[in-house]
Amino acid sequence: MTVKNWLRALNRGCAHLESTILVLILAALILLANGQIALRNFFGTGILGADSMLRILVLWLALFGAMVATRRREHIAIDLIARLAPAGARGYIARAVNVFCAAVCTLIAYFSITLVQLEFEDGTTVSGLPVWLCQSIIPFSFFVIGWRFLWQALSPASLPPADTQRPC
Amino acid sequence: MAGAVARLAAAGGHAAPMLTLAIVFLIVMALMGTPLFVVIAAAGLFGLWWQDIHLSVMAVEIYRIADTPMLLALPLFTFAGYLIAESGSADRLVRLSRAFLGWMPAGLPIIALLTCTFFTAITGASGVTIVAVGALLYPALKKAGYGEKFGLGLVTSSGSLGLLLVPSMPLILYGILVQQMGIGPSFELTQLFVAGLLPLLLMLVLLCLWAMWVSRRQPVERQPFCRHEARRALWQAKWELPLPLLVIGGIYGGWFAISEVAAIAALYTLVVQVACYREVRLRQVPAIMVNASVIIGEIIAILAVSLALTNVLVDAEVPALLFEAIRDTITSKLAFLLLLNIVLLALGAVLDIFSAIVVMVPLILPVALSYGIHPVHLGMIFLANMQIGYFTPPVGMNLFIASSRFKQPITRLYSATLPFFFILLVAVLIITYVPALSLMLIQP
Repeated sequence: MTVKNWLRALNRGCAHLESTILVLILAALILLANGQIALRNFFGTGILGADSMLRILVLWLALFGAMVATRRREHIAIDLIARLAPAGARGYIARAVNVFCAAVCTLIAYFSITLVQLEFEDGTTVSGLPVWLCQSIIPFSFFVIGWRFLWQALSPASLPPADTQRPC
Repeated sequence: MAGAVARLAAAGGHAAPMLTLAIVFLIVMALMGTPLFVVIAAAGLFGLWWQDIHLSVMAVEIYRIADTPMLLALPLFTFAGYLIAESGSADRLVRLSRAFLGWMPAGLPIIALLTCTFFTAITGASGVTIVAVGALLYPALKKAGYGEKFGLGLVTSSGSLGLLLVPSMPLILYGILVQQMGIGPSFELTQLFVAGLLPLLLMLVLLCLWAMWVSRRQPVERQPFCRHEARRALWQAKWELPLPLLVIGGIYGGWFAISEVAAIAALYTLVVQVACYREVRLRQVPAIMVNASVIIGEIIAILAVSLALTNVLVDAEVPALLFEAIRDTITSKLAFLLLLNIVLLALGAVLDIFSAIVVMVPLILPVALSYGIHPVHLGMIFLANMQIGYFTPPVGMNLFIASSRFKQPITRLYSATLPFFFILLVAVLIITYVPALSLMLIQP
């Protein structure tokens, strides 16, 4: 098994795992939010810390969603030049764009670690959870997104055909 | 503008050509197809570096997403909308409104307008209205004797109607963003939702009048009112009817907070579509959940990084510089509004609505406030312009969606939507220059 095949299998496994996590987060959002409404209205009580929990779940849902969006190349983009460019140049444009995206996302991931470290030292908590743990999704997701852009820049097979791109 | 760039450069202590170069570079990257969240993030990082602020502030700003309670409504409504789009709700909605409104002159076009409005509001203006509702109504319009071109223009331009009606995502996003900025007269999200009603009504009335005018001499088929059919259509839609009541009553009536309405709507829709109508299989639900989460991820990623960019811009006093730059040439509120319309129309045609909101609102809002424009009114202007942008040639998104769905050349859609474009343009101009229309219902 070549390194490339091995990486591909790893990629597929991660993709499956990440979709499962997305489904679980969204299900948790729906159940927790409704549970909170039921408890508040019928029993005059509530789950302690559920509101901040819900807000953190939204952040996690969004960043996992962004990871999947990168994998599926569904990020919102304007591709005016790419569409007007001759077919031969499109590959180079896509590679340049992907390298740039990888660089920006890795930069964000790298500097997010500083925030997580600071928060770790402070040891603050939100509804029982350490804040650094809630924030750790930021460096993690941006590293993954950056890695995916790099992967798309390097692997020629992953270049999309021009007509599957979004019209906006 | 050049003057403003030079002054900004002086404030940063770096060389001015570098700032210009960075701006040009980012615009070129964006046009080459770089995802907009990366472009905005890069601009934010550059701005932080320019002001000698540690780049980890970017992460602090991203984490602010977890401090915004209203955002919870977005994934929940989106999930409900995706479920509805997967089910046969569009059929039932059309059947129900035909049974009740089919007898009217130009009944079918009016039904098309109303159903598209509701469907877009609940599913988000992602083009799904054209695919789900338009695809049902376009053949029906043709069969009833309306011109092909009229039908095509109607369903394409109605694909973004309903942006001003709760729970449309752009409307919620605008409200959240303005509240996050915390400048200008404060308002409740509910007030923003109420304010959207009259402008939407204006658009609907103008479009209905146009539909009646077009069909005045055509021998179009009408469906006489039949009590039996009305009862059957009502019975068929019995599970879905509580949903608009919940959303409208819950939000406009103030029974629930918007995120609570969204939570109930998501759970209710899931149960109804899977257990009662059985049009969505339980096996399909995880895929629908992933699709809904991905679009939320795209939108919130843009929102998160733009919070950083906004702060950078405000710290650098860019809105103030922008105001200074245009103050000498644009002296009156009317002239500013005209400029705003032109800019937003152009923007709406190239940029998708979410990016346009998160990038432009932080820049425009402070300037608009200094011309004495109410933030709620600005929201109406903004969204109404964007709504037209969806089908403004040459690159409005819904034109492409309709072109592929109805297998028509794009140029034919340009000409088919043109009358609707001008009618809605009139509506946008009225909304822009008559602030009372947006503010009447929310001001005592």
